[in-house]
Amino acid sequence: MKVVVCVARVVDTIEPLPVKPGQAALEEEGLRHMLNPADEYALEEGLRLKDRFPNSDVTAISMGPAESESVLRRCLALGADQALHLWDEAFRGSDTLATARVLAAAIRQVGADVVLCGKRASDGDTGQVSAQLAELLDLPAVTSVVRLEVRDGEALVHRRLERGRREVLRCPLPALFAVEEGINRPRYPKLRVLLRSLKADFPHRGLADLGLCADEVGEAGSCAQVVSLSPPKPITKGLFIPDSSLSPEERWQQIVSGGMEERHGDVIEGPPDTVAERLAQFLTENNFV
Amino acid sequence: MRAESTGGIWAIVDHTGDEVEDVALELLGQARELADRLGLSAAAVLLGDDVRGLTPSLGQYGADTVYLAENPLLAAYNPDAYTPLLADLIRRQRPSIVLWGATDQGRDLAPRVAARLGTGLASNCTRVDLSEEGLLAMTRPVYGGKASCNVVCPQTRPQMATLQPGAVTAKRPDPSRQAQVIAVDVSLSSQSLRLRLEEVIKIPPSDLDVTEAEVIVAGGRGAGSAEGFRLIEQLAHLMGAAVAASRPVVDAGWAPYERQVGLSGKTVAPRLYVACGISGVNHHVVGMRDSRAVVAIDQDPQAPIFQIADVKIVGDLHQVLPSLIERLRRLRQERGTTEDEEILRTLANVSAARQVS
Repeated sequence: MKVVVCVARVVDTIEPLPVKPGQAALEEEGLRHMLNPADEYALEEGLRLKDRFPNSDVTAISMGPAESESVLRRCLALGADQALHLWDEAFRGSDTLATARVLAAAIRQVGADVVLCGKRASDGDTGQVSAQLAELLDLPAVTSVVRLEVRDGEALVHRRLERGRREVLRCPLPALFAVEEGINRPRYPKLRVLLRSLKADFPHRGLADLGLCADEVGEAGSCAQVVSLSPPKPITKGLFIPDSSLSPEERWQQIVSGGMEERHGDVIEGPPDTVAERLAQFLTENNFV
Repeated sequence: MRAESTGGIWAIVDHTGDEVEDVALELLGQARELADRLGLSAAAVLLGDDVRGLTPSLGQYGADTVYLAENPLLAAYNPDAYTPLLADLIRRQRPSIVLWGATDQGRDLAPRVAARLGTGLASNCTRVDLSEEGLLAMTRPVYGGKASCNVVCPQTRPQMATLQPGAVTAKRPDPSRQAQVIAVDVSLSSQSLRLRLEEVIKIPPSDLDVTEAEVIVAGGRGAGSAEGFRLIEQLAHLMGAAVAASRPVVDAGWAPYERQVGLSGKTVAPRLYVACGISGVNHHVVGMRDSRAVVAIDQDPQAPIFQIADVKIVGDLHQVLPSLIERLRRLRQERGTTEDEEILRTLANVSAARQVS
C-alpha cells in the first residue's frame, strides 16, 4: 500500500509570540518551529498501516521554505520511508487552496492509496487543506478521524462529532483521512534511524517539476488574503480595581484571584444529609439528573 | 468564480432534522444585517429530507428566500452529496457572501465547496463585518488564540466564512416575516456516494473526553485517597457525567493525566461543573471558570473555589457525597429507569437546556 502523509512546519505557539498590530505575518526572528502536532499523529497512523501491511511504503511530503526540511527529517527519523520537499519562491503566500494545489500535484506524481493529513495546523488553525486536497484529487475523504481500520481495500472510519457522538463510515480506497490529535500514541524515533535521517538526502520539487503555473499558487493563486494580524481582543469583564474598603487580606486575595467575577451563589451549610438534600434538589430542579 | 456578483447573502442551515440549530439562527441574523447594509437580499439554504417544516422559522429569523433541497439521500450529512449540490447552486445563483457554521458539517463542507468554486474561505471566524470597500472582513483566531487574523477575499466570489457557534447572537424572530421558498432540483444517485454511513454511536459520558462533556464531576486533594476518589467516580457515573481531576489527584495517581483540568491539563466549559474537595487555586480555576454552572463542595468556607461557585457547599465530601449518591439512586428507583435510560434522559435534558439558554 502506498501511503502519503502531508506534514507542515508550524510555529510553536507555546512560546510568547511577537504579534505587532497591523502586520500581516509574524517576524520570523525568535520564533520556534516544530512538526505540526496533528501531523505527527497522521504519520503514526501511516506507520501503523505499514506495520499491518508489510509491503507498504510511507512518504512524507511538505510544502514550505528550505527550513521545512527539518520536519521531513523528523518524519524520516520516526520511520517514514521517503520524504519529498516542495518549494519554490512562487509558492510563498499560498492560502489553503493554493497549498492544496501544490500538494495535489505532488500526490498525483507519487501516487497514493491512502493520503493522511493532520486535522489542522496548530498555528494557522484553518483545518481546510485536507478537505480541499481531497476535492482537487477527487478522493473520498473523512475529516476529524478518531479511528481508522483498513481492510480489503476499504476503510472503516470513526469521525468525531460534537456532543460525544461518532459517525462510523465505510470508505473505499484510495481515500484521504484527516486525523485528530490523540487518535494514537506516536512512537519515539529509534536512535539509529534518527542519526541516519540527519544525513538523509531527499528530492525537492518546484513549480515546473510539479507542472503548475505561477498564477495558481502562491500569492497570485490565493483568494483569501490576510490583511493584518492583531493581538487578540481581551475578554472584557470590566476594569479590575481592588476594593479599598476591604481588609488588606481580602484585598490581597482579590488581587491574587485576578479580580475574577464572583458568582453569587447560595452557601449551604449544615449536617451532611441536609446539605445533600439541598444539592439533590438543585440538581433535579435544573434537570441535571 | 471571478465575475462580479450581485447575488444575496447566504446562510447555510445546520439542523437536526426536526429543529434548526442555534448556530444557523445566528448566521441568519448576521446575513440579514449584512444584507440590509449592502442593500441585498438574505437567503437560507436548507438541505435535508422532509425538512420543509423548518422553513417558516428561517423566514422569521431573517431570510427573504429559502433554497430548499429535499431528498432521502440528504437526510444525513454526506460530503459526496452535499458538496456538488451546493457548488452547483452557488454557481447558478451567484451569491456574493456565503456564511457557514463552524460545526461538524460546516467545517468539513465549506472548504470542499470553496475548492470546487476556486474561492477563498476563512474558517472559525469570531466576527465578520464590512470593510470600507464593502468587502467581507473576516476575523479569526490564529496561533492558538494568541493573535487574531483579519482576512478578506477581494477578487473571487462568493466570499465565504465559517462562524464559530455563539460568535454572534441570533436576532429576535419576527413572526410577521415570511420567506419565499424555492425548491432546488436534486439529482442524486446513491452510486455517486462513496462514503457510506454505517451508524452514529454515542460515547458513554464516563469515557468521554472532559473537553467534550456537558456535565463534569471533578475531584481534588480533598478526596484524600484513591478510595475517596471512587466516590467522585460513582457520582459521575450516576449523573452521566465525565470524571475530571485537579493536579494533586493526578500526581498521586488516583486519576489518569487525561482527566486533569487546569493550567497544566485541559480547559473545559461544561454546562455543570461539580468540584469536590477542590480548593480552587488559580491553576485549576483557569481550566474551568467558563463553566455555565459551578457547584463546589469543600470543608474550608474560605476556599477560593467558592468565589466562582453558584452553589457553595461547606462540608466534608466523604459525608456529603455518599448521602447524595444514595439520594440520586433512590430517585432513579422511584423513576424506575435503568442506568442507560437515565443517562439518555440527562443528555436530552441538557441539550434541551442548551436550546433554551
